[in-house]
Amino acid sequence: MSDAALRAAMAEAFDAEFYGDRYADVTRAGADPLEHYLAYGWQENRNPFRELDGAYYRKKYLGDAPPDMSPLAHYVLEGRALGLPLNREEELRRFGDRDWSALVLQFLQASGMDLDHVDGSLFHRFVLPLFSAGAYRQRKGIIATLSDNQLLAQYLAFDFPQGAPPGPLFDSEWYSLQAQKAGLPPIDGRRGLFLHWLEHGVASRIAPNALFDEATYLARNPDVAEQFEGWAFEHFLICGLSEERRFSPLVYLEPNRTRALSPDGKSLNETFLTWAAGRPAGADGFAGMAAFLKSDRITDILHRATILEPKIGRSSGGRFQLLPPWQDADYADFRAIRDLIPLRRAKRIILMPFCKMGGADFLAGVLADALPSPDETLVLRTDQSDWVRPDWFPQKVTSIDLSAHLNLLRPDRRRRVLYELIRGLGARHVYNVNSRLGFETFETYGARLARFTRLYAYYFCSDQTPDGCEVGYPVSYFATVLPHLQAALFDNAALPARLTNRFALPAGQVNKLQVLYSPALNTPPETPLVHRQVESKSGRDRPVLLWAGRLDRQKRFDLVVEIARAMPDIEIRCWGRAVLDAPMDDSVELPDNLVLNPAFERFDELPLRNSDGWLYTSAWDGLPNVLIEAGANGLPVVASAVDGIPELLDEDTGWPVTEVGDVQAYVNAIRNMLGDDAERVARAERLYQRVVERHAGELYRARLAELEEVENG
Amino acid sequence: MAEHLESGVDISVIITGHRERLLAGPTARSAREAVAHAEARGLACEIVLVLDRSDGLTREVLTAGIGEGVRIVESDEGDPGQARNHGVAAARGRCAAFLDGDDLWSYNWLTAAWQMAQDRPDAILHSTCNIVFGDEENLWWHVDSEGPFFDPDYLDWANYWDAMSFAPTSLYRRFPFRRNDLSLGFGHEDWHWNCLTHAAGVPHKPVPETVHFKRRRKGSQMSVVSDSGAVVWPLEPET
Repeated sequence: MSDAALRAAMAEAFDAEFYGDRYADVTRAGADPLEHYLAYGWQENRNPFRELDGAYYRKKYLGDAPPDMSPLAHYVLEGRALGLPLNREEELRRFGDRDWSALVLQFLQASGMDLDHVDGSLFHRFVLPLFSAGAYRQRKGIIATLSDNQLLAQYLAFDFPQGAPPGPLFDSEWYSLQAQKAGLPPIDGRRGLFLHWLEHGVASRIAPNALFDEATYLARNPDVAEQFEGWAFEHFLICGLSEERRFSPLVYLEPNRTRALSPDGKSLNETFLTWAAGRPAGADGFAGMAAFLKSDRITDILHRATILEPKIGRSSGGRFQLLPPWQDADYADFRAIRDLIPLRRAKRIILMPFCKMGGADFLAGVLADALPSPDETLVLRTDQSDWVRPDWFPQKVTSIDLSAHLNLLRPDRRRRVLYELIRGLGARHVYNVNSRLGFETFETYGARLARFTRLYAYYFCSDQTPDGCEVGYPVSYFATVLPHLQAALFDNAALPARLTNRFALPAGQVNKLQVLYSPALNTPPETPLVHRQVESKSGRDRPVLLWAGRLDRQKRFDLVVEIARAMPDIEIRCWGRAVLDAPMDDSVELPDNLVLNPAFERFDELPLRNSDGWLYTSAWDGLPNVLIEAGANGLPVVASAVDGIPELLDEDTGWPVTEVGDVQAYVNAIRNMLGDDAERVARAERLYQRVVERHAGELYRARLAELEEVENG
Repeated sequence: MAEHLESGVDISVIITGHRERLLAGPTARSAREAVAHAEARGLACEIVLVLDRSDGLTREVLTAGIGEGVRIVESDEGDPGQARNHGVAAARGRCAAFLDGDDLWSYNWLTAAWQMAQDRPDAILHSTCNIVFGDEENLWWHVDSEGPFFDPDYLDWANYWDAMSFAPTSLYRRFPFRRNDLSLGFGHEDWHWNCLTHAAGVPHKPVPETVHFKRRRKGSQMSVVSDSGAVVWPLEPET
């Protein structure tokens, strides 16, 4: 089916009215229901029409499907034609549907099996729910990409006739004992225990798993006791497993939050029962626990203890039975997150929020590249999944997104998980490059972490609210984090000077503040490009300035527009997109001499040679990478003289504008730059030299090594 | 000659009292009951009462409740692990068993633990389960560190066993409890002790058919730790 045909089929099956009514947030946001479903809704387990339960459908049928296939797509491509149940209720209703079972029975009998004593409906009521594709795949060592349905067919054709049980929930040893106790007909070794159970055990209502306790199931699930007329074990198989209903008096399972993201799609009940089945020695343990709870001994113990302290006996029936770690959902979440990381140990960890297009994201890549032994470095994305620029990171570095899992947890649990990851991985150095969770974890656990690892945090620049208040990580997470850090890292000297003054830092803390000038990404050209610009200027109709940055409030693109309007004799070519703020209003009319392009991929793809200078208008900043790149290429620059920028750009190396926001000040600086070629060349050359000397990659690497070494000594 | 041979004491019962006040009464009676059960089966027991920054009422209740023959050790630690260490220093028994000042044992605890210790003198013994009563009501199964249910990684995340263990006294001397520092956010001393002993290869095993009764009170130290995101003390050498 072509993409267009698939979309049309989905649009036809989709119920926009239902979706809009059911999900008021979509309606409030004014989003198109189908667009919303296809972009986000299916991943959030929303239902495309009333009958299709997104969570049920995904868990049930999409295990082998491509990760980007929505339930609706699967439904129109396959599910509808196969007549798959779309929700649990439908699955239950179809208990009486014998078509599938009749077909299987017919098939098996045609292949020579004697199944005269087997009720055909048992195939869809018991064989199907007990079948575990994952366990079968593992048992048979099947690594080929066979679907779950293909595996079921293989089981029915080859293993069922041999008497093999369909999955780990059928405990042969337990059933054998129970069958003997119940006085059922002798077990025919050739036909196997599972067939015996279908022929005799089901009718005698013998649950083939020691951990399922019918009395507990009915007591803990009163709706089943009231409404379900069949055997409780059957309800458990069809519904109770996936609905995580309690079934055992011995163990309380606490559902964890990340289980919906589990790659095997198993419910907690299935996970536990599979785990228990994988520990044959545990059967004695469970049997012992059950026997003890029913024993005269514990009755006697409780009786005598209650005489001493009546509170003990007050509510002995209502207690949860806790078997560590199954009562601990937080631990289950931690394990699920730990399992995302393929490394057992990591010498260095870099924490970053995400990888979009920002300077901090870029610097995380620079840092990963500069640190030794990249195969022992782990980059963890903690806040959002974006991984837009993998090319900024060395290939040998392992980068993992934890954010999807972490964001399902309570904030305090996220911090605990990150702490335990750092500890468990044995990291010697942990660098935080703008990860909010990293800062929060350093704040909460910094004193403890610092006992066995070395913490570093990058601070770039503060942000400003529209009414001029200073906000951001240097405000929120400096005073509380610095005492735990081995070093606070800065890409400019202005910010640490301000923080030193603000917090009246004593010498011991000041010594932790380290300025590491960021290296340029590309190797600088041998000759500053300003020479090429001056040589080629006669070929341009009018002078061309370049501007690039995020279209966010901080970068003052509005100033660029005003400058263009004030200088119709020049052209300004811009690259960028909004990252942190809302996208620019399309109704803003740009002047003819300003061209806005999407964000660039690489700095050297810009027309550096065929332009006349670089313009930078930020209202506040650290020491922006784009200016380092401009300097490394030997471009003449007009820039706002804010925060860290004057360390790079002064009257010797460019045209700094101190009156930030004053359009005329920028116009004057641009006129000065364009009006004197000799001075333009001289200042661009000096800027180039400053970058070469101060922002060299070797220098950055050496400073990092020095930092790690000093503390080792 | 080992001290216990000289003294003839099989089990030192070490009760730690702080400020449990009247709640210590059932504890004292419970200890007496378990001792009587053991003595009726030929075991020689002594009771060491460690009063750590204890108040007068707790002292009165415990001494009266335990009755004759109790040996009292005073300490000024304000720390449960250090209090236990004082008890161990005073103990003359071949084995020792801890009882916290507001908890109870099943009557058969000492006898059953002693019997199991004859087969497994290398192990630290715990009850089959803890029944938690009071402001929380649960039943915790104690997991066998040598058994199929044990997950060593979980011991890094949370504690498997509480402090009311039974083991050769020499083992408690070899692995003394460290001082708590809950303000730093590290968990209780018994968690660290369990990690330390487990890492040293000492198994932790439940004794069949025994129960400890753990009183849970609002605002107790246990509640403080579980609210504070406590983590285990690292065993790695500190930098």
